[in-house]
Amino acid sequence: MFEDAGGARRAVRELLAAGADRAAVTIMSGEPHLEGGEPLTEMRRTRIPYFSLAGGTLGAAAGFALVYLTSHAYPVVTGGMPLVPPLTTGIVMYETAAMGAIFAALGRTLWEARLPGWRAARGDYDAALSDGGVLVSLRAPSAEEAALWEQILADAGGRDA
Amino acid sequence: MERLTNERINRDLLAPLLKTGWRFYAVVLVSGAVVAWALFAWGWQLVHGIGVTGKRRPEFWSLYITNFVFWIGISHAGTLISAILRVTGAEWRRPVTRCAEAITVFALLVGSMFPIIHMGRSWLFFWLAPYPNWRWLWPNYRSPLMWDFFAINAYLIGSLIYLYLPLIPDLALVRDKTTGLRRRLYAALSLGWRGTEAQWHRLEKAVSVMAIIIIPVAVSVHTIVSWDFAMTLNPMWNSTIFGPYFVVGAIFSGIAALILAMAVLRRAFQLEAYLRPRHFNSLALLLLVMSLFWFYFTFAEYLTVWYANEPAEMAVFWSKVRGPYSPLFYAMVLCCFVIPAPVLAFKRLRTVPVVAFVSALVVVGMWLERFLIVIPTLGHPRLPFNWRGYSTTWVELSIMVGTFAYFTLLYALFTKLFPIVAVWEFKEGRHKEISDLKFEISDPDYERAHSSHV
Amino acid sequence: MPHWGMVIDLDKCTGCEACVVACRTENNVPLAGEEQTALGRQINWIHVERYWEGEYPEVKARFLPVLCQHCDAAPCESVCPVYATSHSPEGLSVMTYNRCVGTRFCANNCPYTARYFNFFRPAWEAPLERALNPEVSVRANGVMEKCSFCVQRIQQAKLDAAGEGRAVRDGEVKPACVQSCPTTAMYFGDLDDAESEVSRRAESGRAFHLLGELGTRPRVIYLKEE
Repeated sequence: MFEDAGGARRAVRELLAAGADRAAVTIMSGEPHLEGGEPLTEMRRTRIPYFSLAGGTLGAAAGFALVYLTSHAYPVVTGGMPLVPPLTTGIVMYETAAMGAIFAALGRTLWEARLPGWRAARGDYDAALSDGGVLVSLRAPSAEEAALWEQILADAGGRDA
Repeated sequence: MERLTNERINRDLLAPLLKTGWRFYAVVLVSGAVVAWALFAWGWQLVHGIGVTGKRRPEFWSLYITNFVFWIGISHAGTLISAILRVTGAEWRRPVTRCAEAITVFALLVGSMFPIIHMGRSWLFFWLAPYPNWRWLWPNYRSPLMWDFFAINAYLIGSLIYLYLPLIPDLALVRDKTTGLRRRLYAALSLGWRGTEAQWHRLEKAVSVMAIIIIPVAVSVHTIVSWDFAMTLNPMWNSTIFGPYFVVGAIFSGIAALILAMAVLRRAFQLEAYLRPRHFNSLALLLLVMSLFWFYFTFAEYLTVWYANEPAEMAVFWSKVRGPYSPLFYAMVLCCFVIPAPVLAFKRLRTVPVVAFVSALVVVGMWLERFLIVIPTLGHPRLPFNWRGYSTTWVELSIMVGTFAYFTLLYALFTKLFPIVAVWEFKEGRHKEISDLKFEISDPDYERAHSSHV
Repeated sequence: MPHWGMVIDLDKCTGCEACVVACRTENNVPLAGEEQTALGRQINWIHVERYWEGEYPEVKARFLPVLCQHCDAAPCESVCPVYATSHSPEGLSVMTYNRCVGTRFCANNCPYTARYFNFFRPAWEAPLERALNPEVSVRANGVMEKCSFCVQRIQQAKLDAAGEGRAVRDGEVKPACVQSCPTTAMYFGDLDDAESEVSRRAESGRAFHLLGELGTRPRVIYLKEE
C-alpha cells in the first residue's frame, strides 16, 4: 500500500526494471491516476468505441426491420398515404440505433473491466483504498521472486497491506 | 477553512448516506402524502373518466401534456452538464454531474408517466409497444407518439446507464465504509469494483462514449416531443421552428432546475466546500446564454406569425398577446427573459441566492410557456364556431402537484442511498489540478505528457 | 367498388338540426347533459355551425353542418399510435373503437374539429336504453368516436344487394342525416359513379371543399349559397 500515486508508480517502474512481468502487476486506487503517462500495467487497447459503433449499426438495422416487416405483416389501409415512409422510419431507426450503441457500450465495458468481479474483490483488495492510498499487488511465479519484489516495494516506501 | 483531505471529502460526501436527520423524514413524509393524494386523484380519474379533468372539446390536451413537455424539458439538465461539459473537458463540472444526472433520470420517470395518465384508457398503454400478438396488431410508427415511445425509452435507458456507470466506483467506496446488510447491498451494486488501472481506463472510456451518444439522443428526444405539436395542422403549432425551439427551452429549464437543486442540496447537506459560488457563476452564465437564445426563438416565432397575418394563426396569436391568455403570456416573458437576462448579466448579482431565485422564476416561466403552447392553439381551431376557453379541476392540479412531490421524494431517496457529488471525479479533479501544477514546475515535457492522456 | 361521398347544399340548409337528432338516435350517441355540454363535452357526430353575418338589423345567420369529412388524405389517421383509425377501401375513414386507447391525438389533428371523445362512460337514463340501435356498438369510456357515414346502413345495403345478385343502386344508401333532412339539403352516394346524384351535384359551380386549401381531400362537397 502506498501513500500516493507518485510513490506507487515509481515503485512499479522499479519492479518492471527488475524484471517483473507487466501482466502480473495490478495497481488499484480510489480514483483514477492515469494522467501523466501510459498505464504501467498490461493493458490492451480498449475496443469500446468500435463495439458501440457496431451496436448502433445493428440497432438501426433492427429498427428498420421492425418497422418494415411489422407494417407489412398486417398492412392497414392508409387511404393512399405511404405505409413505410423513409422519413418517419428514419426517426425510429435513429432511436433504435442509439439504444443499440448504448447497450453495446455497456456490455463491452463490463466485459473489458471484468465486471461483475465479486470474487476478485474479495481476494485482492484493501478497503483502505477509499481513504486515498494506492495498492500494488503482484502475482509472483515463485517464492524467491516474491521476496525480491516485496523488498523492492518496501524500499520504494510501501507498507504491507 | 479546514483543508479538503481525502478523509474529509469522504466524510462530507458520505454523511447523508450514513446519518439521517429529522428533516429527511419530514421531506419523505410530506412528499409521500402528496403523492398518495395524487394517486387517489388518478384513481378517481380512471374510474370516472377523463371528464373529471378540465379537458373538453376542443382542448383535448391540456395540463397533462403541458406537464409532460415540462418534465422532459427539465430532464435535459443532466445531459448538458454531464455530457457536453465532459466532452469539452470543462473541469468545473465535476461536483455537479451526479446531481444533474439524477435530475435527468427522475424527470424522465416523472415525465413519462404523463402520456399514460392522459390516455382515455390508461390500462392499455402497452399497446404502443411493438410486441407480437395473436391478432398481428402492430403500432403505427408514423405517429409522433410512437416516436416519443422510442425516443423517451432510449433516453431513459441511456440516462440510467450514464448515471450508473460513474456511480460504480462510488458504490465501491460506500461498500468499504459500511457494514452488514448495507455493505452487501453496495457490494452487489458495485459489481466487485476494485479500482485497477484497467478498470479505470475502461470506465472513463465508456463514460466518454456514453456522453457522445447521449447528446444526440437528448436533442432528438425533445425535438420529437415538439413534433407531437408541429406535425399537426393546427394554427401556431405547425411551425418548423418547434424542434430547435423546444430543445433550447429544455436546456434552459434544465439548467434552471439544476441550479435550484444544487442550491437546495448545498444548504441541506452543508456542501458549501464542494458546490462553490464559481459553479453557480458558470451555470448562471449558461442560464443567461439560454435565456437570450430562448428570447431569440420566441421573438422569431411570434414575429413570423404576426407578419404573415394569416387569420387562423392570428386568432391564436391575439388570444395570447391581447386576449384571455395575455396575463400568463406577459408573466412568462417576465420570468424567462425580462428579469433573468439583466440580472444574470452582472457579475456582482450572480450570487448563489440571487441565481437560485432567478432559476425558480425561469422554471415557472417555462411551465407557463408550455401551457401557452398547448392550450391557446387548441382553444382556437380553424372553424371558429368551436372556439372555447379552458378551466382546470382539482384532479388535474392534484396530479400535477403530486408529480412534483414524487420527484422530490425520488430525489430525497436518491441522496440517501447514493453520494450526490461524484466522489472519485471530485478527487480526480483535485489532484489533476495539483499534478498539472507539479508538471508545469518540474517537467519540461509537461505538454507531451499531459496530452497523451485524454 | 363504390367510393362514398356526400353533397350538402348550404342554400337549402335551414339549420333545423334534424340531422343532428337523427344521427344520435341511429348511432347510439350518448347524451352529455346540460352541464357537461356547457363545458364542451357533448358528442354530435354531425353538428351545425352557426355564424352571424352583419349588424343588427341586417343580421343573417349562416348554417354549416360539419361532420367527419372522410378525407382521402386524413390527417387524423397518420397520428394515431395504435391504428385505431384507418381507412376503408371504399373511402371511409373508419374507427376501431376497441383499439382506441384514448390519446386524443386524432382529435387534435382534425382541422374540422369533427372528432369526439367519451369523457365519461356513455350512459342512458331508463327507458332511453331501449331506443338503442342494435346494429351499432355502444362505445366505452375513454374512446374516440366520429361520423361513420352510417356504415351499418352501407353494409346492410351491400348485403341486400348481394343477396339479390345486383349492385347497390344510387340513392339506396341514406345515412340518418341525409334521410332526415326536411329540405333534402344532403345527398349521399358513389362519387366514382358519374351518373349518381352526388356526382352530378358535385359538378355544380357552387361546389367547394371545406378548408380545401389544407390538402385533406375531403369526400364531403358543400354547395355555396346562391
